[in-house]
Amino acid sequence: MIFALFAAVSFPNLRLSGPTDADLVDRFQHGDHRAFDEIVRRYQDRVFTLCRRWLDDAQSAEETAQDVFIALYRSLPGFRGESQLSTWVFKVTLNHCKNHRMYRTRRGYRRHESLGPQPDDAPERQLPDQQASTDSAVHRTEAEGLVNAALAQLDEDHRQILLLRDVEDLPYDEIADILDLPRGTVKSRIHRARAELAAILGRKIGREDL
Amino acid sequence: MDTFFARNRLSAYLDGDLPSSEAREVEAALHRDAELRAEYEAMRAGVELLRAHGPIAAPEGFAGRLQIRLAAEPAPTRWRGVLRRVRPEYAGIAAIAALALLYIGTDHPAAPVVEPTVAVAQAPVLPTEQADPAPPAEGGTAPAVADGVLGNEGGFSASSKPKSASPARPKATKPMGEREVFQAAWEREDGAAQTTAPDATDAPASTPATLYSPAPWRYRVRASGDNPIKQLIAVASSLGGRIVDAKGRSIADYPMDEGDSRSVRVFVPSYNVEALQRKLGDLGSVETIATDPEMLYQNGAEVPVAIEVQR
Repeated sequence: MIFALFAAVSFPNLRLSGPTDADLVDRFQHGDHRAFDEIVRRYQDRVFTLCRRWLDDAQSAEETAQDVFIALYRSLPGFRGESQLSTWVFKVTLNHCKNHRMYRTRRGYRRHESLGPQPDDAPERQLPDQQASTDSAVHRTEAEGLVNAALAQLDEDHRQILLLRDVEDLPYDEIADILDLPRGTVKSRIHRARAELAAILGRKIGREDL
Repeated sequence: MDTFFARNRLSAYLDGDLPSSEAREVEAALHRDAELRAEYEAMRAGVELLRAHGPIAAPEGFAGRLQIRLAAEPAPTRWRGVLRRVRPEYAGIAAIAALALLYIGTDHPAAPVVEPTVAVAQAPVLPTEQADPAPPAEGGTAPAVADGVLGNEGGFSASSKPKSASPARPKATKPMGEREVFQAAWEREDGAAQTTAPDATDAPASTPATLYSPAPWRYRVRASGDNPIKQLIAVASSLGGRIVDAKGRSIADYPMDEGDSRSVRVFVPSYNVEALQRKLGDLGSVETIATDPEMLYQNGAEVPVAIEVQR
């Protein structure tokens, strides 16, 4: 028990129960396709979050997230394990999100609008450990709107780095691997992105208070 | 540490990424400077908001829907994964080298001038500028297909028939327009070639896989509504797609009587094919004739879906 606690604190990436990502990849590469189910279970919320925060509607986000897993399924046999699986997953996800957005921009695509209630209007399911018990649904919806609006105003580089750092909670080194940037650049870019986010939120909250 | 240096370290301080000596200096600066403190608090509030409200759970049924898509996937192999990693520019260079070797290996009395045909030269993406191609004359025969990849192997035109034993010098070809390619592919798919191009039976059995031929996804819908084509037009429009008839003409509406059957083709972004399939279920019972999961991952390229609507 004491050893387990010590290990959990000292090695946060160490999983005492269940296979590691590398085990799952290895099993998949040796023909055990159920390992991919576990990979999906492990990453579906994080991939969907990234897509949802990047794209402007839930349907596109789900389709893009599914495309990400289809791409992973096809490419996993060739995965050499030179980086962590999570690094690769997030890299693929960001590329898909950017491609999707670029395609829609090029096509001048606008979401089909209906007079009825939109599925996007409903508050989305927050992950349980992120949801404060005292939060009301109204407060959550407002905060959701604030987060979406603020992220939408950030430029692409700042948005992606904040999503990786403050939403996905990735360490600097992994972000550096995902974005192919030096660690120092990652740190300075996070700093600038956070300052920009604070300024946007300050303006928004200030305006709403008026 | 002055305020400037402290300001540049606020983010790292927030992440606990500063050495203890620098962290103490930032704390001192924050204590000293009210403006800096306000900046820090604003930054911290933004980060907390993102951390609290950023993560979202995947929608219910996400894994199930993914399973359905994965079920249509061929079993992945190591070679497939390796081939997918080949960079497109290298693939292009390899293709050019292969063509050059092929050219060198054949007997050429003189260097022919061959214009590339559409099927060879273009990436497999439909030209979007010609969304509504001019229709061919009603009741007319199929336009002749030039001796390109599709023409030679598809065999829809008289020009693709093997000629008598003449010198093997390739003839210069005209580039195929979208309409010709589309028409030829459509006819091959629907069997119309038998009436419009009798020599189609002379064609070799294998045909090259182009985006146009055949449609990678084909469905038959037994519609329950009064005007299924109109419903289908609305579905295609909501998915950023367009719908054309067998001659490549855009359709605005098409009333159908009981027992009527109508073949149409819907062009949608590849990532919306699954959504289109789901929405077809709203029209009536759907029978899947063919799917091509290999083409799903096309980075949003517009792809054709052939649909036979029966009322």
